[in-house]
Amino acid sequence: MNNMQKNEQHINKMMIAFYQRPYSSDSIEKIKRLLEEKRPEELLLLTIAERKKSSGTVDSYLGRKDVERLKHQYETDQEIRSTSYAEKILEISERKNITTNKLVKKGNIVEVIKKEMDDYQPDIIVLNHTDKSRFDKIISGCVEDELIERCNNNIIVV
Amino acid sequence: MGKTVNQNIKQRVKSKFTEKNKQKWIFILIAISLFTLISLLPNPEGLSTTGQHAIAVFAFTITLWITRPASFPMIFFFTAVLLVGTGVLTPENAFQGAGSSTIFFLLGAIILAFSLSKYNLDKRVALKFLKRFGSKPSTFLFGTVLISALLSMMMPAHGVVALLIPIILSILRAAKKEMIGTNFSKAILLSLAYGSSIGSMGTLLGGARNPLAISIYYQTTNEMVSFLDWFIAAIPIVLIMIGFVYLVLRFYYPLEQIDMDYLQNYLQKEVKKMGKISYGELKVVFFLILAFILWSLFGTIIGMATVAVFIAGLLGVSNTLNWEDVENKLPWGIIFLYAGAITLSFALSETGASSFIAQSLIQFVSVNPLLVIFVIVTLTIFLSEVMSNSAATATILPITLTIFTSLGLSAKTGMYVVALPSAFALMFIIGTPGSAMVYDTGFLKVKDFLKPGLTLNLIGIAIFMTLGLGWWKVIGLW
Repeated sequence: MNNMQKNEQHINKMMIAFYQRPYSSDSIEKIKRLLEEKRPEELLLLTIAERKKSSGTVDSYLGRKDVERLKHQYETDQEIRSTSYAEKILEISERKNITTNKLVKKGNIVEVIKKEMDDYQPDIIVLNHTDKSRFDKIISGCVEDELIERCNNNIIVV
Repeated sequence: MGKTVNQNIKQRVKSKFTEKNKQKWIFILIAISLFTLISLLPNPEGLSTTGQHAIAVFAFTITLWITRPASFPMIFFFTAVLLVGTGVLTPENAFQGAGSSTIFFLLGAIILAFSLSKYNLDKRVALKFLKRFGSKPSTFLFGTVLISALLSMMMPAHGVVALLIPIILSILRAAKKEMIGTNFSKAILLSLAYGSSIGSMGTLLGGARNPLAISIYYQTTNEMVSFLDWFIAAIPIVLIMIGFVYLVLRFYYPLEQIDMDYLQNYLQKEVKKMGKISYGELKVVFFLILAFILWSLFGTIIGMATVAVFIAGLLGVSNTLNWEDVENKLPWGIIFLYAGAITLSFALSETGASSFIAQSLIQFVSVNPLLVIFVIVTLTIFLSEVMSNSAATATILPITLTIFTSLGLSAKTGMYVVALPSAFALMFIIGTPGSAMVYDTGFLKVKDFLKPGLTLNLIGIAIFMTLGLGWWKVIGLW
């Protein structure tokens, strides 16, 4: 899951994305090590609240207003949770005196990360291993897989 | 360089789109091929040409209901067109499903449910109830199963899940530790989907397939089933299954020790925020009780739909609800899904296609009534897993009623052995809207539904074959 070439030199910009699930303690340790190794000058913590696509199973049964309310509920929940996931990394980066910016976006996770990659031009992008089964990937897709397939950037999945 | 990368991405997106589209068209092609093949087969003895066409449209519709290349309501349009095009039904008959009394019963019941949510009466009941059960993780789990089931006897099951999800998400967020991946979060969210599905069996309000089943039964036998009849036949199964849902969830998801103080505080705060019961809520309680009384006393005389629209009218006249409230929230998809199901089952009965299928099936299965019931219950449960449970009811019920009548069994029992098990779509996230909704929270994975869902399906079959049949014998159904 790692398409970054081994490179111990320090880098300019790093982006860490937060979505769906929290980074495990192992993953946080890996991020910590990565920050020590790469010593980025700038770090972007990108939090994404996912906007759910329309689902035939749900949308046929609920009225327009209720569908919107439910989607808004999912989005708000994701925003609050993902923002709290970013807090731990923020603490670490502040301790290491890395200039850190926080950004909260809403929308399709892959599209949001892709757009931020293009705008921010990070040297490395860190994504969370969401540990999805093949079934789940078929049903709801996999952010990491899709980004690795679609982008030529250095992506590390921890 | 940048342009090439962009072009590459566009090409990839395009190829993905085409792949999805291709799959959709393959499903449509399979449905059309089945329709053509059955239509062109030599006409078998005992089946009219229109009956054969009805079976062809039936195969076409089932294929689309399972593969879902378009949303359920859209599929109805094709079904109606084919039924008219092949001469199975006149245009008046093909579209009458959308104006049937079942649809108006549903509309009335949905409008009544809107009034509950407009005044937050449903939320008040849920919060107060959960607060009582919030002392331990295990009691809280039992509380969520129970409240999902109880509310689903008063309003549509998916509406109950949509109501409870925000409450449960707030509770999970307020916890001191991360709840994603915990057994507690999984069990609680699954309890909403499972509890509401099980509860929806209890009355005609929880699952629209229940009035649909009554309508198909009436079409076939000219006999009415009252609100109370249904409740009496279904309630023991609902109560027993509530217990099993709780036990199965505890078995597959042993609950962690969780500090429940935060949960109690949260619920306490929310209940306090709601204040005293409002005049609007009292009005809704009055209309809800009135509806239950009228359905029970006059449902079979003036029709369930008449009572439902009368109550909906009263809600409007008393300014409890206005048309804007209804317009904004009305799920048009359901109306056309059920219209399609009613039309299809009407076409199967009218053309004699359901009797033909039933007679053909009887030749293959033994005439042992218990075996026949076992096969029908199992088939209904597993068919409901892959298609809408109303679609499963509309598909299996007309055939079942004919089989039961041919075997000299009570057709009413036939109605229950299809309508009630169709609530058991518990294994897959596509089974019910409730399951899809709890999956969308991001706390559950597809596999989390499989084992408990399958176990409950098997328990359900055993319950129907023992307690169900036993109880129906006691109340004189067969």
